[in-house]
Parts: sequence; structure tokens; C-alpha cells
Amino acid sequence: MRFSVENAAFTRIWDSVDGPTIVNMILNDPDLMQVKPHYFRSAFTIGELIPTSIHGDASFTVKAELPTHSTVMDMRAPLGEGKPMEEGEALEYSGSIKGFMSPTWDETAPARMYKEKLIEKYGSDAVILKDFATKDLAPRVEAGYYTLDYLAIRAETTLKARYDVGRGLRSNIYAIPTEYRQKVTAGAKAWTDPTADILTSIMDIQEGKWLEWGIELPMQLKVTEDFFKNVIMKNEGVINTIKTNWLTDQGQLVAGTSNVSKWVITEENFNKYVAASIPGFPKITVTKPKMIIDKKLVDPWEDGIAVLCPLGYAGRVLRTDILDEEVYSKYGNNASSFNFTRTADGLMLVMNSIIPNGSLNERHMKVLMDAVPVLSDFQYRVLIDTKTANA
Amino acid sequence: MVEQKSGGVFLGRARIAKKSTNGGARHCTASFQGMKNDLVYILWGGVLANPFPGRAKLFEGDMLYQELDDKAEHPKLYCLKTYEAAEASTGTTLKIVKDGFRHIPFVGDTLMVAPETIGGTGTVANVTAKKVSKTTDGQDIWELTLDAALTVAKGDILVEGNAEDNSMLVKGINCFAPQDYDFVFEPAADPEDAEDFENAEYELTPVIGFTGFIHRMSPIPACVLKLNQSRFNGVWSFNALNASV
Repeated sequence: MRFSVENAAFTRIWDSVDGPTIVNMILNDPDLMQVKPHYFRSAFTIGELIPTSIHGDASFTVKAELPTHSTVMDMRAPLGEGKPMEEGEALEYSGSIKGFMSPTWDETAPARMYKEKLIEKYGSDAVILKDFATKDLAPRVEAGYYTLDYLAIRAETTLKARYDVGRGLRSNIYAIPTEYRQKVTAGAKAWTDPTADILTSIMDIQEGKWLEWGIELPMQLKVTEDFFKNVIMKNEGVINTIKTNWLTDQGQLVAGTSNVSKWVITEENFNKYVAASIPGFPKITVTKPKMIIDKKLVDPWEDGIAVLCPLGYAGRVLRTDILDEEVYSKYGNNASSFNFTRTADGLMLVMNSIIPNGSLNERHMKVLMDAVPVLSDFQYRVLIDTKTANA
Repeated sequence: MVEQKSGGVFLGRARIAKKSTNGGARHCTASFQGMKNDLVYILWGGVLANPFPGRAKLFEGDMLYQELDDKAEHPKLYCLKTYEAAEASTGTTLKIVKDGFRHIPFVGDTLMVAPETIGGTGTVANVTAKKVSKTTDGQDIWELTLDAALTVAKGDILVEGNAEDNSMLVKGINCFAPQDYDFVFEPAADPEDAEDFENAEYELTPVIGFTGFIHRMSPIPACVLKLNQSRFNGVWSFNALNASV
């Protein structure tokens, strides 16, 4: 069939019938979208839709029940009755889901005409379609992922989700109530001191919390890549433990670690000779939290914080209805047209529209997301202030 | 476990009756047909910086001011609250008109007679007590006790003041409520407080213009009426992207 601009896929992205199908094909093409790995995916699962109430709130409540503490039996005389046991205390907190949008994409009719003339000249819209997908749509979807990363890391490392980046609103979203927050200091010495006994501190903190909670959960210690390299891997106790166990593994005597090459101090050997050799030692999860926001390097990880938390997911990404979809589908001006495509497991909404501007039209694209990563394991989550020694 | 609402079981019957003062719906849009261009939502929307501190209502056609920085980013949103004096007064008792279509005053509000220019200065006073009362001719009023004397003539329009610099809190008008908003939560005292996660905040996106009948809109002080672009008596028209005033 002869190529025509009218039937080109790029032209039909804004079509109210075919548009969502074409946008969906682009969104599901990994070569076009080139989505990078994102932190929130490793720490949060995709949760449910929380409807927005007529009062305007999309509120959620996270409940947690502390396990019942074990005890000993009470001695009794024959036929004596006893006292019942206390049940686990229930904790809860609530918050509300907020809305976000990526930078908008607008194209006036004359700019469009220029582009269509190009399509005609080349006899294919493949290049323009790929450009649109990789340079316009993909970065806007990626912005949504960075937003979720930012909120996930702030929530995990401060127990508060406040959005204070971007060009729009700045607002609090939710926080673990102060009385439920568990924050401890580093131990006898700050961990930045290479002579600090980090390994003992980690085990002491974990065992103290296990006793307090009444349950021995498998745990992980989340730290940043910089912290792992510059603090943990430069700690004297860690280095000696790796070298000693490495020597033993090589069938050599334990004494004389000073002759062991520094090149054995690797993440792999840390996991093999430290994490795996100390019974109950938490899994070290090394994160890469840094991101580029508006050409500036931003590190949302709270400085000096290591997070001790249960293995597995920290919570769920909850989402709510996006009002634009209802307003413009039901009440949009007939001179305009709108189409909507969900993406990112339903977290984001791509809204394409054609809006009159004078005697001509403008094409618009918005990527919207009303979703927030919500912590649900807060009762077993400990922030370690590694820069502050115990008082 | 995540639930939408608070947990808890109460095997009995709870009494949650509560007086509601939401007010009525007052339609004030002027029905000129044709291509009006009012219903265009503004950039970002905003967190309302001066929400009503209790149950109250922002009405269709009510005016707001979105403050943006020089790059049109980081919005702050203020609503214009207006009150009409029911009687002249010179002391610390202020009587303002009360019906179902008015902004509701609250203890803690800072009020002033609307200055000659939007955002201008004047004498401000804080509301320390309020009660429902009637004028001698039987009109429903809010009788407010103030912590400072205000000189007010009958029919004067009062606005929200800023006690820090004795000025009108709202510094401009550039957007409008396209429909009523009911305020039903207890808001944070300072919506910008980074540590207040407990109390409510209101986020909304007003529209850039409004065309309506002035007598049905919330009382408009003279300094704001100067913005009116309509040349029809009794009709308000203003579009912030096409303002000639």
C-alpha cells in the first residue's frame, strides 16, 4: 500500500480510536522506551487502586500488628485458674496519594506541518516515530520512575515522604508517626571511624531489635554504594575479617594478615567472608540512589543513614484515579479530542490531546501519575545514624 | 496491611451526628453563550496557603491568586475571602452578614477593611471569639470579637489581612474557582510546614477566567472591582491571560 501521511502511525497517535493502541505498542517496546533499572522496583511492589473520595482525599491506612511476646508458664496449684495473655498491639498510620506530571509536550499546527512534510519527503514516519518515542515519550515516563525512586528512598531513609523537588507543588505526603520511628545510633564509635567495630554494632543492633520485637526476622542492611565502598570496605575490622577468612580459605595460618593483598577486599569477598561467615548477619543491599534532576546530581538517600529492615519488599506503590481522565473524557470540548493510555503497571497515564488554537490545532501530550510508594513494614524498620556514636 | 480507611472494631453504636455549615450553591456564572475561554486550568494548581480552618465553602466564581516565581514555577495559592459588614462599628465588636452563601469567619482569622489597592496596608485585627446573632432589623450575622478596634461602615467589605505587615493577604487576582469547593477537614496551621503530616492540606487547580453576575458572587471589594473587564453593568469578566486592566 502506498505510504500516506494521514495513515502514518505517528499521525494516528492522537487519533481517539487508534491512538491508545499505537501508544501502547510504543510503551511496550523495550528498544524504544529503554527504561533503566529503578530503585523503587526492587523495594516496592505494585499495589492497589485507592479511590479518591468525593471530599478529594485518596487516603490509605497502613496497619501493623506487633507479634505477641513469648513468656514462661505461671506455676499453679492443681485446679488453679490463670490469667489470659496480652495480644499484639496494633499500630497504624495514614496518608494520602498525590498527583504528579512530567513536563508537557506541545506541538503547534505549523510545527506539525513542517514535520509532516519531512515524513512525506522520506516516505516513512519511522525516524520521526522513533524520535518521538525515545526523545519525547520515554523520558517523560522515565520521569515518573525517578519520582517513585525519589519518594521510595526518602521514605525508606527518613520514614517521611515529602516531595520537595520538581517545578510544581511542594508537599508532605505521609510519615511514619514519630512514636513508631525506630532510630538508633551507631555504637561505641561513629562508623566513619575506620577503627569502629561495625560488625559487632550491626549484630548488637539487630539482636537488640529482635529481642524487642520478639521475633527473629531475616534482615537486610541497605546502604549506598558510596557508603559501602568508603566506610564499610575501609573499616579495619571488616578488612581484617576478610583477610583472616581468606587466608583460612587458602589453607594458610591465620596470623600475618598484613601481607595479604588489598585486592582481596572486594564486595564478593565481603559477602563470602563476612556476611556469610557470621551467623545471622544481615544481607547487605548496596543501592545506587543518585539521580540527575534538572541537570543536577541529587542524592535522595539521607546522609549517614543505614537502613536495617526485613528482607523482601518494604511496601507497595498505591495509586488513585487521575481526575483529568474523567474530566476530559466526559466534559471535554467537542472541538478537542483526547485519548488515554495506561502504562507502568497502571501507575501512569499518557494523555494525548488535540486542542484548538485560533483557527488551527495544537497537539499535546502529558504523562500523569497519581501514585506513591507506601511503607508497610514500618514496625520492623530501623534507621541507623552511622555518623553519631552512642551517648 | 494497607486499607483505605482506619481499622478498629466497635460492637455497639456510635453517635457521630455533627452540625454542618457547608452553605448553599449559588450559581453566578453569566450565561453569555459563545466561545468564552474561562475554563482553562492554570499551571500546576497549588496547595491552598490560606484554607478555611474548619467546615466552610469556597464558591463558584471566588477569586484566587497564584503566586509563581520568575520561571512560572513553585506555585503558592491564596483564596480571596471576603466579608460584608452588617452594621457600622468602631470598636472591637464586628458584625458581618451571615447567610448560606458567604465565607465563614473563624476564631484566629485576621481581618481588615479592604484597602484601596490589592495587597495594600491598613489596620488589621484578629478574631478572638464569634457567635451567631441578629441585627436589630432581624438580619442573621456573625458577631465577632476582635483583639483591636476596626472602624467599619455598613456595607464595607472586609478581607483577610496579614498580621505580620498589616497588609491584605492576597496580593493579586489571577484565577477563579470553576465550581464550589467544600472544606471538610481540619487543615494544617501552616501548609508549608515540612513536619506537619497529620493535618489536612487542600490542593486545587482553579481556572484562568470567570464571567459572572457580580451581585451573586462573593462580595468584591472596590480594589478588586477595578480589575473588571466587562463593560456591562453588574457583570464581572476577567481572564488572567488576556487582562487589559
